[in-house]
Amino acid sequence: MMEQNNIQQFGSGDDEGKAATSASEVLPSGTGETGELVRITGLTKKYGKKTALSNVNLTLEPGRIVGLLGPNGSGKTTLMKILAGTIKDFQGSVTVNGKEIGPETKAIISYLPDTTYHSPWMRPSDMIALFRDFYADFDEQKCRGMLRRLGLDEKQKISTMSKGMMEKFQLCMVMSRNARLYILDEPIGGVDPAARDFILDTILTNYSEDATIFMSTHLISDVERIFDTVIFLKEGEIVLQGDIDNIREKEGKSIDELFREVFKC
Amino acid sequence: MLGKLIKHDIRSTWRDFAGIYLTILLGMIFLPLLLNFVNRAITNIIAGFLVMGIMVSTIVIMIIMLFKIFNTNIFSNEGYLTMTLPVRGSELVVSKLVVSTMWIVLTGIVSVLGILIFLWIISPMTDILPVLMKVLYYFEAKEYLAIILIFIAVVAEILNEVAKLFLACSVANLKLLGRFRIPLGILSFFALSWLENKIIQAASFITGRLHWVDMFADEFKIEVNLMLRPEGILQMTDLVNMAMVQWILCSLAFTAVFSVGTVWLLNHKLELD
Repeated sequence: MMEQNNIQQFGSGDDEGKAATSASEVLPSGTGETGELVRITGLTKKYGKKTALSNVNLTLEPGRIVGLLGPNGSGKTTLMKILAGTIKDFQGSVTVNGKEIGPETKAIISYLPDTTYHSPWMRPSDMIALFRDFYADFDEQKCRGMLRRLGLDEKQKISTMSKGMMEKFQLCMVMSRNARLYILDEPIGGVDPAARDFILDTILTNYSEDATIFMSTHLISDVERIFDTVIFLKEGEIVLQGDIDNIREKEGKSIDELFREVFKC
Repeated sequence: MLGKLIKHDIRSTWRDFAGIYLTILLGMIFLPLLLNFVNRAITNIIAGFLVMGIMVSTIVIMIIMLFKIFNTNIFSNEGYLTMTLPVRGSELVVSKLVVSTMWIVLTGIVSVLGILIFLWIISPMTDILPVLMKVLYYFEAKEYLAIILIFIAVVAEILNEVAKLFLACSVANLKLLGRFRIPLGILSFFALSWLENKIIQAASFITGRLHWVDMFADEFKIEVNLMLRPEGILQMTDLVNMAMVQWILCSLAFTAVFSVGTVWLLNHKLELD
């Protein structure tokens, strides 16, 4: 498989093959072409002379929680933006559910960017109306329930909310969809530890078993426990990907420790 | 989805325009009352400046609002919401074209209404309405058609200019142009206008024998002058109607070309920060 080209081995000078985690190990056994949710082939993205992503090959299966890990500038956000359809100028092939990025894929992808995206005039009720109009998989009851749990007034202007509250609100909107693929860009970045628990809890309790969560983060120790699979991205290239238990077992260390080792400055 | 997009675009912009309309109308009602205390000659000068001021400020506000409707909604942070909606790029562009044009037409109507209110208050022309009614009485189907065609032509021209502005905005957001992208975006608007004129001129030349009406040619002006005689008025209506149909077709064709360009850029070159 093509993704094997990018898979490298990291460890502490161990023999080749010890910690190697092939792409086939990422996939649950018995899955084939038809079981793929995301297929990325030869993806390269350049910003001027700088290469953000270099010949990335990746396959994601349904029903996985995938952690996209890497330092700042490693290309995580670029990869997520391409999948979400907010970057269109790239080389290579990207398909979700067998379709190129477009209206059909956007209908099954729920994307949480690393920035706020509401208009200044918007209130939660406006956002709910918009999601109801455009997303067939939007569960309004679930959304209102989550907002009540957060103690949010639907008539309060979003722009008057605190940063943490805004992030929680956006997450509620994103997780209120019964999407096939959730793309979450740094969902716990910039919030306090208590809020992190709320966010992780919201993510874990609001996605269906056959959906895939593709999530980037710097705060590995906080979220390591929820991942099935991790992908290490370094300077635009996938340097490691695999089942989290396999990696832990083979490396004899946590993902957080491995991350610090791989991305040591 | 197009209907939902139009609904959402109206919902996101109506507050700004309602404020503008309210300001224009209230200003036009209260200003004449203040001017009643001023010398009549000065009143006329102020009224002239005021009308000009309204026209200029309306144009400036329009450009800002169009920028907001398209540029902010697509290329700023709001783009993360807009560009991840499960809709086609063409639907997004058409929706914004329709809503922008609708607001421009409405602003024009409110501005004219405001100016009429202003003039009516400072100098009531009670005899103008019967005169107007008398003129309309003599109008025939052709004249009414001319009025309708002129209105459609103006709307089509607005669509054309808005589509051109959207394309220029998209060029100004092309990351591959680097730090020159904003000046190049502005320049592209004027370059597109120049190109448009050249194409119209070429089309006029090529189709000259097919009774194409070149409204900017000297022959057209001479012909219009001849028709301004009472016996030529019906003939002039025909000419105007034909010219308007051509103008509408041209505007719609250019709107389509500019919109296709914008959609292509959104579908192939979009890069949100």
